[in-house]
Amino acid sequence: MRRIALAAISTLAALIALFSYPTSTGQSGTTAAEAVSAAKVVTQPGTSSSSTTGQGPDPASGSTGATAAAASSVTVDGAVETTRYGPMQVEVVITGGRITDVSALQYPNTGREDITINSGAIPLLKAQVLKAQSSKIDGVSGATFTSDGYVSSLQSALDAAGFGQ
Amino acid sequence: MTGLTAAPPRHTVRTAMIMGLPFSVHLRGAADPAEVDAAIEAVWASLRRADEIFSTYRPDSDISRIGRRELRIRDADPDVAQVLDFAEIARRLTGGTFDVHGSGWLDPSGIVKGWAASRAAGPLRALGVDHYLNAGGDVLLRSLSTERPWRIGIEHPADPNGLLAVVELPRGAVATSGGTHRGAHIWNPATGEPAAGIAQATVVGPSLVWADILATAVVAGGLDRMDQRQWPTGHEVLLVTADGRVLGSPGFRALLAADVPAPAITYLR
Repeated sequence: MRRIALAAISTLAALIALFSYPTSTGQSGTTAAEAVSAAKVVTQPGTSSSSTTGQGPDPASGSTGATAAAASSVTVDGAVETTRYGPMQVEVVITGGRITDVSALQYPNTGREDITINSGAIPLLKAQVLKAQSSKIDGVSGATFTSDGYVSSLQSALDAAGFGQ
Repeated sequence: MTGLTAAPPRHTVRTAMIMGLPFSVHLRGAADPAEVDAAIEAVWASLRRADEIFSTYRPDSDISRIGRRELRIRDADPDVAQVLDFAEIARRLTGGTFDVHGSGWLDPSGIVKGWAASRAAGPLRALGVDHYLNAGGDVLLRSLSTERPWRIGIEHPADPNGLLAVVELPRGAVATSGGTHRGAHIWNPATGEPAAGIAQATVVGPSLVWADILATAVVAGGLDRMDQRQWPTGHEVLLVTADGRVLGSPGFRALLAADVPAPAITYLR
């Protein structure tokens, strides 16, 4: 169980680092240690499979239509990270030692250009995290990087998702 | 997942946007936090300095001033001459296809990233931990033990959510260039048939400067620029043609991570 939590937390750290990007200046993001100290587990295992979304744990229901897998699920909320553009918080669901879902509980929403970037990047981010995990990579080499903020954000997700093993 | 008992080494990730690109530094292992902070700040500072000299978006950069003929190369920052030397080699390698003067003005952007990242990574080596620097998709890495290689996914040109392959290496560089070839004749030396354009080329080797130039050269100049006898030693290439075939130099096979399904690769020669 500890091993699962560690995997989740390092992913969270990477995600939070991504969303802490000051998008136009060159300042550095959050360190892993900061994110680790603030992450907390909100759902303990034992209840099989709360489904992926929902506003928190759903005790005693357990019948969401999802197959009750043998593996138990853990939902981990990241710390609320204050970015230049507003608060950012991610939630990760781990099932059987693997990340099965990533969602953003909060993201900056001030109507500026970077917001489109963040909200648009979230589904892509999720896909990238899942992909990176399945290959256990440390980072990504790619060619699709331009000065376009959206693509940069995607690249950083690819890169940050390589949380290392 | 590795064993239950082995505690994962401390993993530090820092990111910055410089030159309009995302950069990240990854450290694996324990180092003095103040030294880590100083080293990473030195990396960012070096990259920002390169941006000040070479940015074509900054009117006051050396490159912009040279372009307006307000500054002579010999009076500019010495880095300019060094980068232009590399640019000249890249031009010859590509038979003139890759030309920093080709757009009508001086634009060495295609080379600056790899060159600047190589130099900027210096302070990380002094930390004495495994490290890697990702410069907008070009990667420079170094592990202290060959038993702990870094694993780098290569983006799939047609599928941003997918990976083409995963390579594993303890030290060296991985550079990927993309783009469509502009109509010149490209020949596939493996099959003897004309090849379509090149969608993406990844070069792995000891030097990021060279890997970057060679990947650019292959994309710009086509397969006939892949005569490795003309390359600095130790560089291998994996490329995807516009019609979706994956071709690799013979030595690329040994770089692929054994536990990840590799694409169907046609090895050249």
